Amino acid sequence: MVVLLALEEKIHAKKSIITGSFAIVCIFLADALHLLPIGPLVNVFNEKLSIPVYITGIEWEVIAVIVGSSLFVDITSRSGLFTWMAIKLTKASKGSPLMLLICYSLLTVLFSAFLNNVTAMIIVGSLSAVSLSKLGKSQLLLGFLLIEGFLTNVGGLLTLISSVPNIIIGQTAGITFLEFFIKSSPYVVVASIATVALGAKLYSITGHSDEDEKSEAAILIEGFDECDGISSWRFFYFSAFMFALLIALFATASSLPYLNELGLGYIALSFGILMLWAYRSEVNTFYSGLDWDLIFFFMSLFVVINVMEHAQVLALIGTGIEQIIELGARLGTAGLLLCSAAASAVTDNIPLSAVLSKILAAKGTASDSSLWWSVIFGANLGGNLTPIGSASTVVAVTLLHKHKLGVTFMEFVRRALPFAVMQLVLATAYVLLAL
Amino acid sequence: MRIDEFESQFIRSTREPFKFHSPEISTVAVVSDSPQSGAAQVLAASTSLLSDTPVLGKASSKVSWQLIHGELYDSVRALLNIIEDVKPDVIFVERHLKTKIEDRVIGLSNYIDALTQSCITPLVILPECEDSNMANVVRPAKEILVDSKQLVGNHNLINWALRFVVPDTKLFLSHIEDDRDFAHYINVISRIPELDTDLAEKAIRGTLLKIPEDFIDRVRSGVEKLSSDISVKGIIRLGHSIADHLDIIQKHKIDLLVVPGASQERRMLSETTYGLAMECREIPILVV
Repeated sequence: MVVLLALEEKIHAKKSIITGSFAIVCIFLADALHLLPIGPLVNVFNEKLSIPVYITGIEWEVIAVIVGSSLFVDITSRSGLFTWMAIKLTKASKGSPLMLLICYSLLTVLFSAFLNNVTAMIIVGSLSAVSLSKLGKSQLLLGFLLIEGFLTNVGGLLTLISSVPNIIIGQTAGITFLEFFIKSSPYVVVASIATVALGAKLYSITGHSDEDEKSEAAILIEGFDECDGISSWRFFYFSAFMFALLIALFATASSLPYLNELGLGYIALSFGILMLWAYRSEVNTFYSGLDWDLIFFFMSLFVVINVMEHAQVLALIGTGIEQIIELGARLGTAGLLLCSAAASAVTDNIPLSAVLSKILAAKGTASDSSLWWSVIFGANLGGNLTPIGSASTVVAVTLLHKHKLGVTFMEFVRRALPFAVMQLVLATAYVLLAL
Repeated sequence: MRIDEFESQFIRSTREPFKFHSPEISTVAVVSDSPQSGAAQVLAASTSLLSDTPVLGKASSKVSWQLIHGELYDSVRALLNIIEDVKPDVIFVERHLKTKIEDRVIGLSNYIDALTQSCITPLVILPECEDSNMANVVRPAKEILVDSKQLVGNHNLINWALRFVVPDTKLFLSHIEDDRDFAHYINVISRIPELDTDLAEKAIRGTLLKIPEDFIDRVRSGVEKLSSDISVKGIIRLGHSIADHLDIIQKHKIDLLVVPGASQERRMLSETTYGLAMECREIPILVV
């Protein structure tokens, strides 16, 4: 299944079909071999419930966060809020390519942190293509898209909800939103600055060379109208308020009464449904806009992992992981980070983080252990090594192809290597020294 | 993936800024087929249309008027040679140069065809009238109509029109999308099951008309910053480019029509420009 997921593009099969097929076979074999405890469940009221075995293995909290956040982001983007923010920052750059890179990098990190890395890459990547073309600087697009792609995975480390591996590991380890942010933000700031500096140097992205060019670029950039996508100012302000409130609630949920019991999934779903009121007569558009491939992929993946857990496969992988951890506190932590990164570079980081989190939990790893962070950093940053390493790098490559700047697999690896090595060295040092 | 959706949104939010740049005019050639005495009347009438000092921007030098009367040339090549020597910044030319009255129903004359095709100098085609009456027909332009299907971003066309304004001029910027072409594309869309015809019609119509509307807004605010005496009005709609423009000319009592000239690639006037130049014989036409 892992190999097929890595070859997803080659075999032209969506993730959910691959994991779904394996889930069907796994459930059948597990039942035939009596590996799964099939039978009625007893709830808190001592009632016997007949719930299918493939339902109980699914981490519904993760699904709820993904569905709720996707709905919320999709509806909020209709308000023009994200394009408004993106164009405002574009104007702030005054058309200087270097300032544009800095502004877009900041935007990429923030959008990756608070929306998701795919949406961040789509918004910032599309805007980069349009604004560089307007400035007559399309030759810089390759550098911009690659740097933004690498930054989505750095930004994806900023909060607990920034990426799916964060959600999975955070849930398993019991790391709160605020704790996650406090621990990861210093690294995100340093790695972002280093990535932008390296990218500007490698792709010769500089400021304006003369005053005429500067004033011409400023006029062209002023031609952007940030209000064009806003059809209703009331909905715009409402969306901005709801967006800020959602982040605030995510950040404080663990210390708020009731919400700490209901969890992030409840908050995400509630906000998704509340926002749907703005389009109450056309909710079907948003339901059909959900990434059902991703949702069914998660559901079936959790089913497969649940079977693997009962079949002691995870315990077997765990013994391999244990050998890495037993290399010592420092070497083991660094080894786990680099192994996670290597695995994440060639396959999906979601099954990787799901498996590793189960294994670490089964070993009784404390929630403040740096091993969790090794997996978080490795799973996120490994995606920068190859064009298939993460969903956002796939989007970056798609944008490159769209603008006739297509890079081959090996060329991407060659261009990504300096960035990925730098980020991983920084991450290893940070995990060993600060966490 | 919604890459295209966001890219469209960003492209839509870009506005073409209007760049004002007053054209430099130091030499004007006035071409007539009359002998020197009659041609002098044409020259005198022409000077009333283009003042030495522009209302917007600054004149770098005084305009020198060069008269090329009918005795100076007897062939298209000879006229082109004179033009090449004079190197005018703009040419005023009488309609139907050296064409018999009975032949004037067709075309603009070989001379004007040659001028529009072989040189890039803007050309003012004077109205059809007797030389002695030219001064009554050609007058300072209080109502100017700029017509182009490629109006958006055509700064040169608008800047040339602005060079001819006088205080209190009304500058009409028109963009007429051909309704027959539009109907043809919607008919094609209606045959594609994957596309919602009503939605496509509404979206394409709205976008087609919004792009020139936004650009005209930019021109209006740009011109208003330069002078409060000049007002800019937009006329944007679906229709028939020639018939609608003739209506606009009549309705607003237009004094000067400004149209785009031959494109660099095709070296010939567009169907609309040629059609308007043929039909509209009562007012001067500036071909840029």
